[in-house]
Amino acid sequence: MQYFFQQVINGIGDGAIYASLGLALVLIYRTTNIANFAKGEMATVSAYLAWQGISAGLSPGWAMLIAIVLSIVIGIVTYLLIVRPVQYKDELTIIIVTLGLFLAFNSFSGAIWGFLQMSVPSLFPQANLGIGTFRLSADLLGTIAVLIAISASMYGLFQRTRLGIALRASASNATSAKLVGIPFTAMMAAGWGLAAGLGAISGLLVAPKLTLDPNMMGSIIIYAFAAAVVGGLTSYRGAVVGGSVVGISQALSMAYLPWLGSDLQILLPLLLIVAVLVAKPEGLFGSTVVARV
Amino acid sequence: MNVLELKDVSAGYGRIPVLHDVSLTVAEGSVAVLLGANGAGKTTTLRAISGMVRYRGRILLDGQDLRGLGPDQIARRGIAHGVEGRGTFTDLTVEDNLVVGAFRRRDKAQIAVDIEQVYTLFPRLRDRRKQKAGSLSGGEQQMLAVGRALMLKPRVMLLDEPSLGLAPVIIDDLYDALQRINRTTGTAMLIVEQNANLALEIAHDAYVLETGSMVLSGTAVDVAADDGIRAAYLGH
Repeated sequence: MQYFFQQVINGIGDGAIYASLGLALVLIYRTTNIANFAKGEMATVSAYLAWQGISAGLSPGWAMLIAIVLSIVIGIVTYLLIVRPVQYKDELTIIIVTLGLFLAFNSFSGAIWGFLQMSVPSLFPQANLGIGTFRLSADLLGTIAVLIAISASMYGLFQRTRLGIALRASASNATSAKLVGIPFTAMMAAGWGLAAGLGAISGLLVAPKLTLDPNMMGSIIIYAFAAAVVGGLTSYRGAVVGGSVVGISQALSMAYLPWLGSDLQILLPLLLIVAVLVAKPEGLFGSTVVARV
Repeated sequence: MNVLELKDVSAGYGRIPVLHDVSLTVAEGSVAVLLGANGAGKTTTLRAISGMVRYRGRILLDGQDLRGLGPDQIARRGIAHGVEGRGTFTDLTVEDNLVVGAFRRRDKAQIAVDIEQVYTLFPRLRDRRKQKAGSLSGGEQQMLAVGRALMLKPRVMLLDEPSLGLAPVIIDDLYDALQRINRTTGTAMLIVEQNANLALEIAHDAYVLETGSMVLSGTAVDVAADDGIRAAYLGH
């Protein structure tokens, strides 16, 4: 039993990372109605920016902060230059464009920083906290704390601020948003910027755990999509719950289904996506879109 | 003094012309009604005013030319456009719809007062303040659309077929409310209607569009007395 709960706790730690990237996916989907497949690769670039800062002699904290800010700028520019012209084209076009962005960011990382694996220090100390017989690493607690901080600030932003309500209104009805005076394009760009900032945070959480290389986020993005889809791709709460579900189920499958091997573990989130989509196509927390005629 | 003035406005979609040299004015504090059959260009006229379609000619708000401004900039200058089909933010709550309606304003305390005023005007919105706007009935959504337009504290309010799809008793309530709003706040209005009777009752001036051209204009009383109009729009 103790082993089981230890696995659950570890799973929540990984789940927090999927959730933070899942939140970024939901944010982009809600503001611009686009499933951004390049989200993971953008997060990888963010992690490289932090690495670059640290190599240049900055403290890890400052390097990461600067990387997050630069990532927000990259997100805004990407929206304005590449996404905006195709935003209202058909879905296939948009999917191809985000897959193009995936390749572009991936190659960009490779071209600038190469394909050697690099290491990024963790912000959290290498300590363990023992509660009873459980072992909680500082890294795990830190990751969860970051997710809670992100969720709380997003809630505050969307529910309590003028920018937040303008973002929600723009996502809800573009024409009406303009007609109440909301600068719509700026809101879309802000959505992409914020999502890029969130993605950067998840990249910075992942990089110290794995090693930094251009394909670092390859499997993480799939888990994050699984998290977001479990939550319906439109629900922030859903992305957080979905991330935990995916993280926990992944940890349990590694512990109890070792014969799957590390390569096949990725099947589990995919099975989850399929199961959710079959049972409840709008996701566990999603709201059905009802068109009024 | 005219709040809103259209001078020889022509507009269309792509190469298809819809409006031909349309001119109209809305005086400070007055209600103007724009009548016409389906396809006469009423909605296009409103869309030109709020910057949603390109046009030739001039559109002036308080004497200032609006040419070149986008819909959001025009809204921030004080034109509130309630679109046909209501255009509420369906997945925001009723109260958030009203809050976002005041986006151009910074006077937080007064915004709260004005939300209360909207609730006084439409008590059913107060009962449903925490509900998503998408869950409201058609009549309630129309009230919300009017309430949201009011929250902008507009110089002029454009309303596109506010009575569309509503039960007659609710239409009466709505027009009562519009008249009360006009009298107590002095908000100028330009109302597009197919259902001319009620609109003419509260309007000061009336305009009639036919296939994109203005065929008649005058005081609401004169237009209501016009034989052609009576036959075409008033059904008696």
